[in-house]
Amino acid sequence: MTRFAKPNAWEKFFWPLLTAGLLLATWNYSVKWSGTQVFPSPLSVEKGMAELLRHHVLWADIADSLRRVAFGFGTAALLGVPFGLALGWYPAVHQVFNPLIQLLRPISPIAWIPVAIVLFGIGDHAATFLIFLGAFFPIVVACASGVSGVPVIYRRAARNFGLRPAQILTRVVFPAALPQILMGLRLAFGIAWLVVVAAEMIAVDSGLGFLIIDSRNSGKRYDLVVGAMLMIGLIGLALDTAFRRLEKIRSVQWGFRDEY
Amino acid sequence: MAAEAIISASSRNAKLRMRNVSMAFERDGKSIPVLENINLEISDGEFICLVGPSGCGKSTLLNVMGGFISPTRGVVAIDGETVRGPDPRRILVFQDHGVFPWLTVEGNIEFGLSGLSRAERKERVAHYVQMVRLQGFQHTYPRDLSGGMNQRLQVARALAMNPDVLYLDEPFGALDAITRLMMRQELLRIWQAERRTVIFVTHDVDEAVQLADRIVVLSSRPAKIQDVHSVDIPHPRNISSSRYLEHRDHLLTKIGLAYSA
Amino acid sequence: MNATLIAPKSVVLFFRSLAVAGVGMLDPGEWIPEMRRMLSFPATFPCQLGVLPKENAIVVVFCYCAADRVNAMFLRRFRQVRLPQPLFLRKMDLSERRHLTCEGHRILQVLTRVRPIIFIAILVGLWQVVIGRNPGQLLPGPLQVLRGMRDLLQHGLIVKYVVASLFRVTWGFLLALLTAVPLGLAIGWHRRAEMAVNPLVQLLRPISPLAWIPIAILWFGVGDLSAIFLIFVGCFFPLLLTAMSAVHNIPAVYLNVGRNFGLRPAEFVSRVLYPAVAPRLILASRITLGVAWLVVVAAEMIAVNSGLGFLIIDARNAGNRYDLVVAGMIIIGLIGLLLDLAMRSLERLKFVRWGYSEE
Repeated sequence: MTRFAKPNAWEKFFWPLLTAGLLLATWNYSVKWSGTQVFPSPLSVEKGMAELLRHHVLWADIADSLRRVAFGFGTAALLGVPFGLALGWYPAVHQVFNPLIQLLRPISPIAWIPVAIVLFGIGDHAATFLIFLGAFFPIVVACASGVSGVPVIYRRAARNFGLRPAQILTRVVFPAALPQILMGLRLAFGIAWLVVVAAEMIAVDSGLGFLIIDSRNSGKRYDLVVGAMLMIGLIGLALDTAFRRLEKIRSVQWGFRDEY
Repeated sequence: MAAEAIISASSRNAKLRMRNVSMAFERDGKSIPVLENINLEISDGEFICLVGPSGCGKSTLLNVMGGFISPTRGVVAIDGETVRGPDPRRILVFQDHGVFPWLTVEGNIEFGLSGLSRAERKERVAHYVQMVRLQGFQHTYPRDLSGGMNQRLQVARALAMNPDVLYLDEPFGALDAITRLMMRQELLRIWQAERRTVIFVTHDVDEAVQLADRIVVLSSRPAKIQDVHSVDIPHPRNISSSRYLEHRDHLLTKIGLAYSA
Repeated sequence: MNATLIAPKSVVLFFRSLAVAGVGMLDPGEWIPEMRRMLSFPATFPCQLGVLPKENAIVVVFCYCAADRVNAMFLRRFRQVRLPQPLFLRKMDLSERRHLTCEGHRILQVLTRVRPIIFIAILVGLWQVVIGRNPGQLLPGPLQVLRGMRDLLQHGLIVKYVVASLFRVTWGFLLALLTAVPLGLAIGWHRRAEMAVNPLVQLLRPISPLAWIPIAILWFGVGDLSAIFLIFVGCFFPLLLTAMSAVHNIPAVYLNVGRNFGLRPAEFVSRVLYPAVAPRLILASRITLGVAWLVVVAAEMIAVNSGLGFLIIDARNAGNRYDLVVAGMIIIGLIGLLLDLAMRSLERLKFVRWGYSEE
């Protein structure tokens, strides 16, 4: 079976390049062949991006998006991790707060937009609030399930050694739950990145999301639209990879067996 | 000495024949020899045990015999036919987690029987459920069965295919000592009911002496055949009899040698 | 009848009536008699299904199943005498558990059981107070929200919108499932294919489905297809990646047994590969369905003219009806929760239960 045949080292670069090349070629020729006036070809995308870069606009947009994500995600992590730990550890807390969390969790941050606009007006704060909402619930849920997934034997051993409940939480349960928490943070970050683009489309006037909507509305610059999309993809990928590096740190590596 | 023991097995109706089989794995550019010059002949209906210290390559040898790995050199032939890949005529029973957890006991046993008619399938499944004493559990899922029961299920699944050769890779290794003793009796009972060629890998000398007709002792890596020892005590074997202990001591000495080889 | 069962029973009735209303055959005023009739002749219900257009049929079945699930859940919960125990408590020691069960006065027991409701009631009260303090504010208080919900129900609009949203989610999600899973399994199986495709997929994955909106509108115009396309994009990549990783994680034992038994490739795929990856895929489906629900709301705000997302934006734009906005949000939350519960019940099927550790 093909699965068991060993590929060579150079193939790691050959195949993706080949596919990318084929894709670009198909894109280019289908645009030319269909004679569409609006949909951009790869070259026009590249030209549009270069133009933005020259006008220094692109960096400002990227910086804005990153800034909002940083604030929103940071707040969500700061508040969400302790809350999630408490939720998983204290049954009373879980009993009281869980129904509310389960009800609020499926509400898309986008649905909160009108409320956000009323509370914060159009601007950075509304966007940050939305990102906070988007990242908060996954973090809380991941922390809670990380804590509850810690095997009983660890907790028993800790009690055996005479640790008090608060100590057990900080010295045993938290490190044991750390892989799960990190994974939750990574997922929440991915969601934050999704939300920032959406929030920028509706509630603010700068950033990559805004760039997309604006390029379309004022002049149907679809080359900029596609370029911005690719930029979003690249940055999101880079951030995700950086997060995965965290997971390779020795003290948590034991918790990650097989991630894609 | 070893060569004579091999040739003394009648080569006329040799079921499985291995000639000069060698196996080496590639890792980091280096070639690590695992099996070296294995020559073996096994007759039909024999119960063979492969014994050796852990890591010596017994499982690799079994996988080569089963066709899951191709040897670097040499040839394995069953009934005169070269082994080229896994085949339903020779089924391997794994040590752990070999049964499909998404199928019931019945589902597992009838897994390979899709070529038969419905009536035949039902009959066969019933027969083997009976044989491995899992009556009443036909519709149970493996997660609700004990380790010993799961291994019995695996054996039933393998036998249902009517294989020529049955390979067992330390099948009782994951079970507790008492269950292990019980399973040995079960296996013997099943083997005596339906005579097939069985090749059984273990690191437990007692197990080998209790079960096998012939025991192949492998040296530590790279594995060579240290000795082939016939055990001619009729079943059931009394594990306290002096003959049994003689065989056992003989093997232990051999393996003692194997460690320093 | 047990007093504690009356409250959940009304929830059940609500959803069953929603199901019937989804038939579109009735005015809201006829719900109650129709409900009564339905409850006494459950057998007539399937007959009604045959008369439905397809989209309504999905909603009706969904609501009916949801109602039954909720009913079962409540019955189970309220039969317990001890505290309802969160998941992780079942793993706890008996010694740890003892100090948590409320051995004491009956009233105390009831109070502790009812704690979350008290908490929510307090929050709602606070909300009302804050709103009352600042009159002329745009944001609504809880009473206004309830009135808004009643308005929506009276106009029958809410059912149409729920149907529209669910319709889009179903189609987008199913399309993504049916394309991403076989593709992902095939790609994960062949190492070279994975090497070829993986970088591309990793690049496209972080792109929010909403960033695809201009392209969706360009290709499909404003309407249902756009929304379905956006949901498809949002669901496709997570499912693809999960399928690829699931293939990697199949224990080699199962594959070896499959090879040993001489299965033909087609048989091997259907009898070993698919069952082995099923638990992981169902888990991923549940999470992805949640994502789909998020995306549909967003997509409807921008790209279409019906649905719950549109309700929210429209209520705000046409007259600042924030009571309807919040009412819409709550309904979104409820339905999203129900979808999640429905998918969780799939995980309990015998066929895949082996893949989830005892919880």
